[in-house]
Amino acid sequence: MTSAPDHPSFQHSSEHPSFLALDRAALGHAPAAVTTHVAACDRCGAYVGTAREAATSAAPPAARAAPPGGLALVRQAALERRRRRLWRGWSLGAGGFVAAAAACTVLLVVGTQSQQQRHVPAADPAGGLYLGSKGLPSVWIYVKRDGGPELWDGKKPLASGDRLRVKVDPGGHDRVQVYAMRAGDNPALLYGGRITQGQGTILPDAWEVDASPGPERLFVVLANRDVLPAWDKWLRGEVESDVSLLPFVLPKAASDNGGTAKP
Amino acid sequence: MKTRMPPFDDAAFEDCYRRTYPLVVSKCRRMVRGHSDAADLAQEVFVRLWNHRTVVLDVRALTAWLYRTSTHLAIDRARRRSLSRDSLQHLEALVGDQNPDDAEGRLASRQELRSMLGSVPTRELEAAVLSRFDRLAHPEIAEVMGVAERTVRRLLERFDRRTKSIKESAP
Repeated sequence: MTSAPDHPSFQHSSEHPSFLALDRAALGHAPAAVTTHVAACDRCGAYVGTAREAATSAAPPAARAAPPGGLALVRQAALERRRRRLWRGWSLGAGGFVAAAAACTVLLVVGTQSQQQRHVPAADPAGGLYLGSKGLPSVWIYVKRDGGPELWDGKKPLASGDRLRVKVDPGGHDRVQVYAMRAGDNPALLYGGRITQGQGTILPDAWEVDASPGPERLFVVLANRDVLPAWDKWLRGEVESDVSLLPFVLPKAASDNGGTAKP
Repeated sequence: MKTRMPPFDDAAFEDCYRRTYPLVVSKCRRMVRGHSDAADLAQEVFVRLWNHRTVVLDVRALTAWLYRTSTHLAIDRARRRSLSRDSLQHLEALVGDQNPDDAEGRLASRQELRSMLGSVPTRELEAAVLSRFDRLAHPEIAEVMGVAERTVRRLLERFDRRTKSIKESAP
């Protein structure tokens, strides 16, 4: 996005949306207030316009666009990092085994010399600071058709009779609800219950796709409290900050009349 | 929301990369001045995304993840001094509550700013970066950091107290 100032603004301005809101607008996800502002504000309009162009144009401005071959570099760096981790893990494992063997030997020797010596716990070696990404909620959708279940790839159309299973890693949340939406109605609850934080869990229920028209619309709601759905707000994007609303649109095969997941 | 990416689904990741790379570079350039440092940071963000084998389908969750991860990485690199001198200016100026283009003020207290950058708790720095550099409102910072709004207020208040004490103790 190219119209960002060369240096950051140190005066927080409530007159303009945040860069996050503008970035979301450039990706087509803006609340009405931001859309209205962007349409009326030259500065924000230029930022969003340039950002959209950079993200969608076949020949975006060189300084901002994803560099040619950049994705290959990402893959290469990721593979190298994985190799290093494997090597480090092996080295630590091997080193740990040798150290443990040596420690056992030392303990045997020391133990025979001074059986009354007390064990002193080792100091916490964690002196440094680890900066990692906090776990995000993840959702896997499995589709069972003729053979075994397959992980839905985010694009493959469903067909009437397909059975869906949902696996959820709720991140830091401990409650999950799954809703399906029929055209014109608020989403209907398919499943609700507690779930273990930070662990992928296959929900116990399965749902069969029926022949009603339109794509499947599933919503996975994650929270740390019992949540009453507020669809009027949620469907406008106004979701409470401690609630994660994860929408899925699963297309139907063209030859099908489509349907809504049913328990 | 995101779905775990099926193995070898390059197309989905490539689409995500192409659409969001410009915004990630732009976000990084608000934190670090040098374009090559910003491009390096952005590349590292996508390596993380690739390693997580995730494709985030929901724009809100995806952008929040990108903001959080790029902020983490910038602070981490600044602390490890793996950014160029030029690129450190913004983060140091943030700690000193100075205009990064004010060369005299910056140079006068550069050493203090560096030591403060190392001593400010990471989460306070994260909240300050998101607030001052990215102009995020408190609810947005709470969403990106995955904390309550009151926690954001507390982090920013503490950060402001620290920077105030720096300014007062500056010669």
